[in-house]
Amino acid sequence: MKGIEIKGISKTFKDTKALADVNIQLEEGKIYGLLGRNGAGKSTLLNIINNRIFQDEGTVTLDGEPVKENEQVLSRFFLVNENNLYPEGMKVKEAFFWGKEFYPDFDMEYANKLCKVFELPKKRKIKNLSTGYQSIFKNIMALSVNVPYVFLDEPVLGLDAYHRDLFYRLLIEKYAQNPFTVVISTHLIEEVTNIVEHVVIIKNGQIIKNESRDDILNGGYCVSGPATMVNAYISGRETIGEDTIGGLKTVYLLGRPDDVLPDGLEISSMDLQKLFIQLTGV
Amino acid sequence: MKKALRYQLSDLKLVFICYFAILLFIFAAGFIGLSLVKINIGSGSVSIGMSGAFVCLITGISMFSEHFLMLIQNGFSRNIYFKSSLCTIGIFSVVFAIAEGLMTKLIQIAALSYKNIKVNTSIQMIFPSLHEKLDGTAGFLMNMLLTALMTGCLFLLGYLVAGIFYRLPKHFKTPFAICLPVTLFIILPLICGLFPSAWNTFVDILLTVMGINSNNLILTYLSFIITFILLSAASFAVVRRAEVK
Repeated sequence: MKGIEIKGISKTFKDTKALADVNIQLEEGKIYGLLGRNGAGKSTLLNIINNRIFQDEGTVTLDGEPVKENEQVLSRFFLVNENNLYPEGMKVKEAFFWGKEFYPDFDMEYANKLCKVFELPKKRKIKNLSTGYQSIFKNIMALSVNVPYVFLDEPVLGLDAYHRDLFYRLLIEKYAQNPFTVVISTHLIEEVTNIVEHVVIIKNGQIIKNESRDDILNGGYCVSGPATMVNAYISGRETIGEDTIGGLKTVYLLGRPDDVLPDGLEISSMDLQKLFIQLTGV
Repeated sequence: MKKALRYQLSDLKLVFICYFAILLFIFAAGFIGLSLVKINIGSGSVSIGMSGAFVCLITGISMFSEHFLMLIQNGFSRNIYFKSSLCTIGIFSVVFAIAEGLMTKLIQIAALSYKNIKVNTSIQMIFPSLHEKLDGTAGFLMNMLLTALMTGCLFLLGYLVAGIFYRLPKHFKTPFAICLPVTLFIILPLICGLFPSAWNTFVDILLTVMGINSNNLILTYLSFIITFILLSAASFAVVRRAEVK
């Protein structure tokens, strides 16, 4: 199989099971959304894929080649996460210089252009940048390295709405020019709903949903109206959650709605964030 | 590996330049001051060998995590990081030893007019009885080899200590950081004071094994090479399972 294959990955930190028998495939040239609540195991999974930490069990392969300690494979990956792993005194322009040294396809011209677009000061030390600008710097690196697999762990951390929008637009623009695999792990689900093609939802270290975005959104719907009518409608149907405000009730159901609905009930399409909340709630 | 090596050497370049620039400044200022003030100074000996070795120990300590994180996040494996670190330490130690040898020569020339100031190389400090024999080109080369080995061992020791510290769980980090200097500067001198004969025997054995008692330079080189190999093996064991935290 072309792409990344994750088989039976488990990882335990002391008495916390971070990942339990995770199996997923990440295909070439697709944008994935890796969603999960805090502590669900998203960052652990990304760190294992990128050989930053070791799994207790299981394997990660790229096109059949093991990833662990394999430089040929690792040079095709780039992970951005919230930690600043750059040396204390390193400046933005120095990081770009070494980015070009380490990744032959690093586009220095594009990186410089993005610095101007985001107003990132290149002469500033990375550690002295604000949280938002550190995210911007790392995102510029990720967009400029030109590797086939880019992993973005909380890429918009500390970014204002303008910069978040700008980043998403640039990501899509870059992807449209030359498709590459992107895995975005974020809590801002609404913002990435229209970007991701495939959704992986992780809960307590286990994959609970691994489907294309369209399948997920078409695989369910919401019905709302007076509680008694909604209760009558949902009887015998598969529900995944519900919200009640006063006498009004909204229920999230799997499957397709009936062609004809009783008067007083309203049908709306499933929202990825709502689905996420329902699936990952206690 | 070339890319990793280039990064590591480029980063350490600054340490090298700063250290020798400071040394040059101190000695230049000292000699210029002495020639201007014309005071009578007491006799003494000077050697820059050990200070260089300690600079390398500290460089090794500060290098481990910075370079590890930088290289691992840029797609290098731990094996390459370790090999590149060993090459860096090797190259840096040799260049350091050459520069130190040349610096010592320069200071010796500058100190020629001060008969009571003796400028010794590392090898002349360790083997004072071979002082006369260790002059000239052969002496320069032997001193360079010894300095490179000493520097390399201390560099690697710093690297290993930093690696152990990096790998330790959070709650062990503080005790480790406290225990190391306490052992070196309190417990060891205490043992030395409480059990002088045992301590002297230990030191005597150590000096014999290292060939210092017998003025056997080959044994000294050999003992440093073995130490370097052992430290490398221990460091590899630390790096092999290190994770990005």
